[in-house]
Amino acid sequence: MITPLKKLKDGVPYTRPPEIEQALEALSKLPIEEVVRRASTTDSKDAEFVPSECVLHFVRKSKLNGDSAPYCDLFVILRKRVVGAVPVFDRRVRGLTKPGNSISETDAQELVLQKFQELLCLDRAQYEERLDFYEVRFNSALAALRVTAQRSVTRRESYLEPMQYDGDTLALSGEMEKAIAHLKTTNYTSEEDYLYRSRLLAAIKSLPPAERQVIELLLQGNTLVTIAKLLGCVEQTVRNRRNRAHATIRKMMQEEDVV
Amino acid sequence: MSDERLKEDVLYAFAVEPQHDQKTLEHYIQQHPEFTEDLIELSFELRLSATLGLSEVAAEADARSEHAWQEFVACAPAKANAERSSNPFARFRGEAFATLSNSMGMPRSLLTALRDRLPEPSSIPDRTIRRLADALASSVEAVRDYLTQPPAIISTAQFKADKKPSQQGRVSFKELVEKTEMSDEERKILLQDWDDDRPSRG
Repeated sequence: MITPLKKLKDGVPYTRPPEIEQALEALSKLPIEEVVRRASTTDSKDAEFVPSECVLHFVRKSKLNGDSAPYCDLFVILRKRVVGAVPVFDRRVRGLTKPGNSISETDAQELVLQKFQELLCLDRAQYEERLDFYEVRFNSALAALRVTAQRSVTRRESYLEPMQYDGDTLALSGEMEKAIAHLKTTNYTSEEDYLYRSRLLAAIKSLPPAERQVIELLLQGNTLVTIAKLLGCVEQTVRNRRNRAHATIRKMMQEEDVV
Repeated sequence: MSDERLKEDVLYAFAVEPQHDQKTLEHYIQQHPEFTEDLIELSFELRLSATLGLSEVAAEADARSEHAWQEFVACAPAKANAERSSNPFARFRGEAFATLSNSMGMPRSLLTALRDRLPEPSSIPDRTIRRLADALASSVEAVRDYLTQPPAIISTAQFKADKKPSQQGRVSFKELVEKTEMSDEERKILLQDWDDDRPSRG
């Protein structure tokens, strides 16, 4: 039996998704060298692919197994997975981000690695319940860590809200809304579609936080009124932020088309 | 819990939700309005992960991995040593002991025998020790050290015996498994510890 998690949610311990439990049951019967061999597969569609939740589970057991060489290999694999989960757009989708952005992104990647290492070390000294989240949904938990890391990086950058936006807002918003609505579904149909979405997401990511948040809430299906309520501001502010965001995104997408 | 720690917990909890739709996000914002911006940022990050399938991107080798591993191995060795000399069963009394027995798939009488160090240490399969260390949230070394100490003198024996109680002779663990009352299924599972046995320092 695989050790249950300890982190509680409303008084009940978190549980791993059934597919992770099953994978762990199966992997725990294999020699550790075989677990390492399978974990080295990077293609998640490969039948032998080991989910990161499981890689972490074994790394947490390193101490119990005398920190032998295969556990070192798993530790290295886990770090690679962490690095892979932090988007650095200019490496994957060329020329997308403004030159300044890559600095923050690299900083964030560094911070995420550092923070994750801290958690692993704490777990060794005394069970670290925060790591339980990573055994439930590894990439999602990492997204939470990324937000904490990125927020502390972006906080250093100043953001001045422009007083107003003037431009052909109505037509622009209609056009951009249609484009951005594309992101509401996660399945992409072709390589081209994937690239298009990546570019859109990269553009949204490069927006000032206040504008990005409005776009995300729109993507969630909220109206301007609801967004104003959620963010604690007036509707006109939301409208301004949306319009500015649309203009920036369009500009970035057009620049890309030229490249 | 500090504000920063609470925020982290709230963000993690939202992140591992099976759905990150409008309703879930709204619920979390209502519960923790002070983290509104962070929750929305997280919602966008989750969208990024889901759309780009970021985890599938093979990362380059990380130059500092070796150093990080050394740092990881060196974490809190003092604690590990302290653990080694203490009783790993100490935290497992009453209900916790019953839970331990369930998670090990081992009758309580057999677990009690292990706790009291009655079986001959060399007769206990490595796999049983590994499973036990796992269930006790201890280390293989700590459990092995504990099991090799002299058998416990049963504390109540002194009130029942005519002569001074002394250490009992040790028995083979396999013999104990065979003689202890349990279902055939339970016995079969336990006997697998001998079949699957392989060195723990693989």
